[in-house]
Amino acid sequence: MIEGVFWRVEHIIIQYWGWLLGYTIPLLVGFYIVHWRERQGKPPQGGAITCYMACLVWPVILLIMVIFIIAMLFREAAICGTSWIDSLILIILRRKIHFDETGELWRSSAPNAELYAQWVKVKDKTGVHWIQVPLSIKTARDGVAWTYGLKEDEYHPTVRS
Amino acid sequence: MTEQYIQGDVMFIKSEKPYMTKEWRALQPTGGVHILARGEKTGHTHTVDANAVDLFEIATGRVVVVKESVYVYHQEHDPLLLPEGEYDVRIQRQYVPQEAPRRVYD
Repeated sequence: MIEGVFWRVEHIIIQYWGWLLGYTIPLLVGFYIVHWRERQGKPPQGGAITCYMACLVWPVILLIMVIFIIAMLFREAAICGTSWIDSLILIILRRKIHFDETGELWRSSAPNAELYAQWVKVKDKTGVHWIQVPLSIKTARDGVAWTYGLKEDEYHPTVRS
Repeated sequence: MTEQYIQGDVMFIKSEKPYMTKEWRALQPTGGVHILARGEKTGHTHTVDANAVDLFEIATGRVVVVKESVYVYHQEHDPLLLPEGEYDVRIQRQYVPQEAPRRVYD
């Protein structure tokens, strides 16, 4: 469970938004210094206005990031046949149970033990794709074969573009 | 082993023996090309030159008869070269609980 949540957070924030963390710390330091100079009665520096503007922008950036994360989760929840809440729970709790050259097999189960789902995660030129597969699937190769209506031993692509 | 060619969410399985039966319905090309599959979300298409292939629809899907080697084109994937032969066209599907599998939302 923790691995699933951490994977989502790590993948989104660190890989795509990590540079914002390095941007935020100097902003917060500059903001504090500006206010400290004002309390000391010292005239503001030329960079004060820039600092204030940047500090006002940061909450907007944070809001956009949160909306982006939520939108991604809801987009993936749309592929599940359950309710939105159940779909979100399944996506957050999913963990990788098998991988091979064809892709990865992920499984998720909700705390009520009646809600299960499995996905194969495949990568191609257009990006990463999550495709839900039946619970009877045991390997990533079997899952990918199932998506094309084949059994695992029948799946042997000659060419893939 | 049968040859299998994949372009994104579409697989072409070369048949070892002819599929041809009387239940086939020939499909007409559009603008000189046959559209083998179309993405519901993106509208992207898998197309081939209609002069090189014949496309048929059967109860369980589609069959494409390649009269001479031809490229299958798609807006996001590299062109896929299909050798001469008869192919079963399979569209990738996804599991939906308590329902029949449906096509991957592309």
